Amino acid sequence: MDKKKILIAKIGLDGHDRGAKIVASFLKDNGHEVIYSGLHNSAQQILAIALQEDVDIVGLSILSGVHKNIVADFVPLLKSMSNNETLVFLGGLIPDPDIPYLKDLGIDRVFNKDSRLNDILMWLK
Amino acid sequence: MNPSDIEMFKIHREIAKQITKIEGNLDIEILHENIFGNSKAFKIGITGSSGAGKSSLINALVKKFLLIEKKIAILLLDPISETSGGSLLGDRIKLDKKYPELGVYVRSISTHRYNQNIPKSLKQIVNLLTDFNFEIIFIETIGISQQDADIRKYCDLIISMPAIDIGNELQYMKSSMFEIADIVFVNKNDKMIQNSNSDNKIFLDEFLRIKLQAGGRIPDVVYGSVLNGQGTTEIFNKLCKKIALLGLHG
Repeated sequence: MDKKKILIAKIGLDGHDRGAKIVASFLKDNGHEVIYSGLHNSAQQILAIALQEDVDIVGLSILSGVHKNIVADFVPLLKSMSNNETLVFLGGLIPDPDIPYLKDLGIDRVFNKDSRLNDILMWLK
Repeated sequence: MNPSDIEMFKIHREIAKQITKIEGNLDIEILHENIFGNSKAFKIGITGSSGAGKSSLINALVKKFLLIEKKIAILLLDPISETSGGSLLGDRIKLDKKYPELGVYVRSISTHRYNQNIPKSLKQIVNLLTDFNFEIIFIETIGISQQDADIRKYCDLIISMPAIDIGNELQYMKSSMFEIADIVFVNKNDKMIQNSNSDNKIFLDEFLRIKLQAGGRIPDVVYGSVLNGQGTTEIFNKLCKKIALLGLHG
């Protein structure tokens, strides 16, 4: 199994992180190295963690509806600072019509609320 | 994001990539091979049970070192699950979020329980950080596995933080924590007194008395409460004294 180093991140004022913790726990139980950022981080703070820890992937969790703004603030910066090496997936409350825009900004995969945990595992392989 | 932050983040990324290579046992260009003792960085080991307050103590000490403009790195050692092979590197979340922006480099490292490679890679990581001019390096670890007796080789000073409701003095006598520590910091002093866990202080005193009479070496014991700001200045002063003693970068 190809073990990945994954940062599960919460950006902004969104205080709901049970989903993020479930994903973190699941990925750890399946052999990956997981860091959880905790709540209320700025985009810059998450960027700093991703770079210092040299993570392979950032998993962003956004349930507050401001995903377009946050992704615009965070993802292009991460991609440029990481030489496009770091992948980003997004989970939370993401309406399907928003997905193309998000992908244009650099999001590699969206897992909406109907996704299964195993979907994430499969994508990571 | 301002240009100086961008520059700093680029450097942090470079350091991070090198550490990843070291972890993977890939060859990196070692800029200078430091034998323990010649490294100019001052390495502080912080060990202790989960929840004892290691991260809180680190936060308090980093704050003081930042005031005297030291360049600081923090290594957080977390064990890998024996069952899944995965790890949840959860120490970082307890540290001040602002560190990267203040130039503090923080890295979580997952460790195997009995992995022979970890001590060697730890030494290389410390060498690397020294090359990047870090002056103070904190190494945080839980301190129950066999691994941690080795921590002594990689630190200039070790602070141990015991759990406060630990049983009786025999527990202390059994524990290797007191053998490896230079300073024992008994945190949550406020709680001990409040819950009449002051029994715990009696056990600890009894243990120290026994040790002394048996001719054993006892570490410096400091009682305090990081939450209430007690004891941390005392520890900081001891650290500064040791730094001066070792003749490291004034």
